[in-house]
Amino acid sequence: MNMIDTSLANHRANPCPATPMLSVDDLVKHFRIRGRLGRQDLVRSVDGVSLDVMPGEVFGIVGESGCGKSTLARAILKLTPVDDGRVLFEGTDLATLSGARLKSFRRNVQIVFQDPYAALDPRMTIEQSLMAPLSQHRIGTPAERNAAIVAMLHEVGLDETFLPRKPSECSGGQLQRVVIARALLLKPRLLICDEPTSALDASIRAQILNLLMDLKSRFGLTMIMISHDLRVVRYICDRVAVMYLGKVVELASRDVVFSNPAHPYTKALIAASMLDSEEVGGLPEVPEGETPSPIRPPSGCRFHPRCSRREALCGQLPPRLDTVGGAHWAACHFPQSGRKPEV
Amino acid sequence: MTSIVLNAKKEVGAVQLAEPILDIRNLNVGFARNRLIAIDALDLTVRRGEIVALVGESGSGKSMTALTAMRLLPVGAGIISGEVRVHGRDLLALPPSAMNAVRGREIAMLYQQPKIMLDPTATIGRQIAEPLQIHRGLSLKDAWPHVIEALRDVGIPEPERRAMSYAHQLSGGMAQRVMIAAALSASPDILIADEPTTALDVTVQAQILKLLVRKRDEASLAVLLITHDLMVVSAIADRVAVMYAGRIVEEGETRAVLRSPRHPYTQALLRSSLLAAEEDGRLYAIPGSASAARGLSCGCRYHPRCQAARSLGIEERCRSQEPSLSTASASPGHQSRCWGVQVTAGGMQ
Repeated sequence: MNMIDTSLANHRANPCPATPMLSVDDLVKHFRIRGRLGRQDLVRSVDGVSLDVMPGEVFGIVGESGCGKSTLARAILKLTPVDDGRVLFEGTDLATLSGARLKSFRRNVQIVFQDPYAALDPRMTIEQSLMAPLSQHRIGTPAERNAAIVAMLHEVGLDETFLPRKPSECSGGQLQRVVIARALLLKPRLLICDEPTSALDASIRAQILNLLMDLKSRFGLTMIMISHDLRVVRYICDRVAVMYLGKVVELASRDVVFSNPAHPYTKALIAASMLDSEEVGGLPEVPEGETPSPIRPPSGCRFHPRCSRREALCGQLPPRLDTVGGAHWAACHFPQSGRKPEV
Repeated sequence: MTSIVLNAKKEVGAVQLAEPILDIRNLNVGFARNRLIAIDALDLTVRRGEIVALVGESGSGKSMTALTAMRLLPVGAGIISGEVRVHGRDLLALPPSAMNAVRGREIAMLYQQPKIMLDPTATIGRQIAEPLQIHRGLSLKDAWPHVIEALRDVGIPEPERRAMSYAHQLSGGMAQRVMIAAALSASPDILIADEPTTALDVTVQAQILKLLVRKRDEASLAVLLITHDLMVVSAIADRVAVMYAGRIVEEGETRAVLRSPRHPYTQALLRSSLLAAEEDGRLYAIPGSASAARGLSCGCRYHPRCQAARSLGIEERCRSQEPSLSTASASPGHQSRCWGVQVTAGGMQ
C-alpha cells in the first residue's frame, strides 16, 4: 500500500496534478424552513463538500434521497445561492458571475434531468423546445439554427420527423434523447446528468447510457453523473463520490470504490444495488433504519446510528474525509480497506 | 440467513405443491378505444406461502394483471374473457358488492407510491383499522390494539405515537410499512405488490423485501410481486414469470430462469439489466422497440426483435405461428414460449 503523509492531506480530494475544470470548495447549503412552534429549522442539505472534477472525466455522485446530491448539482449550476464555500468553474468563482459572464457560464454548463416528461413543455413542439436555447443565446441565423437542430437530432439517434411532434407523441426514451440534444445544442463543456435513466426501462436505459458515452467522446464533454444506481455509476464513471446526509463519505476511482470500498455505507450501497445472475436468492445485508433527518443529523459520524461497526468514538467525533491510500479517500474512523488514518 | 430459509422452502416445494391461492386462467384484457390487447391468454398460479414475481417492462401488461385481479381496471380497459380464481372462486364473476367483501379480506394490494395511496386526511391508525371495521365488524376502539400490534409487527418504532400520525409525516419507507400493515390487517391470503419498492432507496428497499419474505414464511402469505427489477426478483421471488407484450414468455423457479434463461427476451432483459460492459466496452441494449409487437395478432410477439430466430433460420415459423409455453429445462415448471428452444431441444433428443 502506497503511504502518503497525512499532514499534507487536507480536505481537498485532488490527486491529479492537472487543473480541475470544476472545484467545489467546502460548500455549504442550508435551507431554512419553518419548524414547530414557529421556530426556524435548518435543513443541512450540503454540509461542507469539497471535490474536483477534472477535464474529460465522468465524475459520479451517488447517494440515497436526502444525501444532498441534487442540491449540490443545483449549486454547481448556480441555480441556488450557497451559504458558505465556493464553486469554481475553470478557476472562476461562480459567486462573482453576473450579466454576460453568467450567460456564458450557462452555455458552458448544461443539465439533463431525470424526468423527460417534466423537462419539456408539453405544449411546445420538439422543434420549439430545441430552438429555445439557441434563440435565448442568440446563436446563428434562423437557417443555421434549423440546420443545427436537425444535425443534433441525428446525433442523438432521432431525425427531423420528430420536429413537429409534441412530447405526448414520443416515448420516454425518445424524449430523454431530445432533452440531451437540447442540452448539447449550446456546446457545453460540462454536462450534469441528474438521474438521467432512473425513469426508463432496462433496455432503454442501456441505450441512453451508450448514447451519453458516444456523445462524451464526440463532443469532448466532461460529465457529472448523479445517480442512486450503483450499476449505472460502475459502468459510466471514472471517479465516484459517495454522499450521505450532506457529506462526502468516500471518494475514489471507480475500480477502487467497487473492489475495495472503505466506508461501511459504500459497502452497504453496493451490496443493495448489484444484480448477480450467478448468485440468485437471498437479501443483501443492509443497515438498519433509514437516513435520519438532515435537520438534526446525528452527532459524530452521521452514519454511526446505522453502522454495524460503530464504536464509542463514532458518536463523538465527526471523521474527516482523509486518504486511506493514495487517491482513495474515506470519512470513517475505522475504514474497512486501505490504511487506517490517524484520528 | 434469509437464503437458507429460501433454500429450505425450495426443497419442500419440490416435493409437494402447496394449495393454489390465486389462479388466473386464460385471461384476456384489452382497451376498447384502440383495440389494443393488454393481457393475452395469461395463465398464472400463486400458491400458499410463495412469492411469484411477474416481471416485464412498461407496457408489458404486468400492472394491468394486478389491477384485473383486484377488479380495479381503469376506464377504457375491459376484460374480454378469463377467470381470476381466489380459493377456487372466480372474482370476475362476482357482483361489485361481493367484490368489496373480498378486497382486503381475501386479496389485498400494495402500490408503488405509498404516500400517495394513503389518505392524507386520516391518521394512519384509522386506515389500518378500516379493514378490521369493514370485514370483522370491530369498532375503532376494539380494533385499536390490533392496529398497534400491526404497526409494531411491520417495524414501526413507537407504534402508539405513530398510529396518530398522518401520511405526510412519514418517510417513503415508513409509509410502505404502513401500507403493508393496512393491507394485511384483515389477514388476506394473497397480497399483490405492484412495484412496492421502486420509489424507495436501495437500503430501504432491502428492508421492505425482507418484511415481505418474513410474512411469506410466518403467515404463509402468497405474494404476487409485480416488478421491472430483476434485482428484486433475484432477492426474494420463489418463482418468476416474464411478460412481454401481454404474454408470459418464460416462467419457472427463480434460480432456473435467472441462471439459465431460455427465451431470447429473458436473456436480453437479463443482459441489459446487469449494466455490465460488453467486450466492445458498450452496454447491451435490446435491439428494436417494444412497440414492434403492437398490432401483431399471430406469431411470436418478440420475433421482430429476435436475433435467435434469425440465426436459427426459423423466422418464417416465428412470424406465422405462435409457440406455446413448453418445457424449457429440467427444472420443475420451467417453461418458455419459443420455437428456438423447442427446435434446439428437439434436435438434441
